[in-house]
Amino acid sequence: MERKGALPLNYDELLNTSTDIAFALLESGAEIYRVEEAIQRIFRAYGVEHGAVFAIPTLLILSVQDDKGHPLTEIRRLGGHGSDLARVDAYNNLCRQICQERPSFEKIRRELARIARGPRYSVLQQTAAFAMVAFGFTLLFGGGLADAVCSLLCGAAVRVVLYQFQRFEANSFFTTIMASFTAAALAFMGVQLGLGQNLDKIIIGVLMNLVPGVALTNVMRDVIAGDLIAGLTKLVEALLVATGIALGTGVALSLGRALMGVIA
Amino acid sequence: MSELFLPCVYAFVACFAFCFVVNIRGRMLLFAPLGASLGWLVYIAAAPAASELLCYFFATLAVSIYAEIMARLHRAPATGFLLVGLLPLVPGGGIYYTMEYCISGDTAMFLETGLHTFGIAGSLALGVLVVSSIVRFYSVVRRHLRQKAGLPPA
Repeated sequence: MERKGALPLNYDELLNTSTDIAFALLESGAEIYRVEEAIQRIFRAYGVEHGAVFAIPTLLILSVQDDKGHPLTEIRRLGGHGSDLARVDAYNNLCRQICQERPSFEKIRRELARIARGPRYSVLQQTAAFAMVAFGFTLLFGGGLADAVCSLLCGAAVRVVLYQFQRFEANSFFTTIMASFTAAALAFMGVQLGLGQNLDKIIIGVLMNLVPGVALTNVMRDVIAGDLIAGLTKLVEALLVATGIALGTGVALSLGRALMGVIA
Repeated sequence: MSELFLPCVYAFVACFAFCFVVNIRGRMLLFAPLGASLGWLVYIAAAPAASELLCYFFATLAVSIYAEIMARLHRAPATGFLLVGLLPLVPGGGIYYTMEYCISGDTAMFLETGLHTFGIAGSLALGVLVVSSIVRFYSVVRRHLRQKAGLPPA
């Protein structure tokens, strides 16, 4: 395939830029097949005949053969991934645009940087969001208005705890335990003080913020696409988070009840 | 009527807020939580007719179909609609009650609730699996047919 313009294709640049795109997608929480398909399309658009990409949630391997048959490979390790759907969407559109227009690599890198700088919700907005999630789910699962107000406060507290632990890069299992411990402990105190009545509804509402729904959904989409290793990794993650939630709330409730037993 | 309608409003409010957690922006802020309301509506509506696990399954089917349609209408990944729409169906209550029976030492109820929670998660997984598999199959067949007819791939 002939490329637009007379310049020969710079394979190093292609490989570096593609790895950047794949890394950005994976880090924003895109599914494995989305990452791999995007890179395959880009390779095809630039006329690379022998190119391969392999991704699992913690590792990326990209390899191309240049026009002389010389193989080039890049490996990149990922620490963790979040879920940032606005970015997944933006990177996805960028890939589509790259395949259609084949812009210069410099322009692609500028676009990548622009998307990475794109807006995020502030910590304050997210704290309000956590509070509202807890509020809504407490009402949905049959709690009264007083319960909902109580879980509103607990939800905000959970976000603060999460933020503090993530700032110090604690692992997600420990973070989940501490966040659900806080949720249950505060809810227990709230009920003891007479702020709410139904302890279970309050705690469940707050815990919906921590529940591994994102991991669970991604597991299925990866497994369907045939990425079994990625599916397994995320399944273990979902199970660990669920266990962490149970542990955190369990310890908080046991402690609370034991303390009340001593006081009463 | 209000016992059917009000929970859907609650689900919308909760999932609208959840959009801010996973950085959803623009008009998806409206359409993603709508899927959650739809899923919960199907869940409540199916309750008198089917077992609980089947209710979860049907609700997931509804959310997944909605997500695939919305993804095509808005040219956005289906994942966002799925994540937000399925959130009310994720068994947070199951995890809590399982833990509650565990610490109170009621082994029989602990096992029963734990298995039930796994059942709910399985129903969700199966629902997503059915719809996504059909969609993938359909797109492969369509590409194949277009190639056969000599049309450019859409």
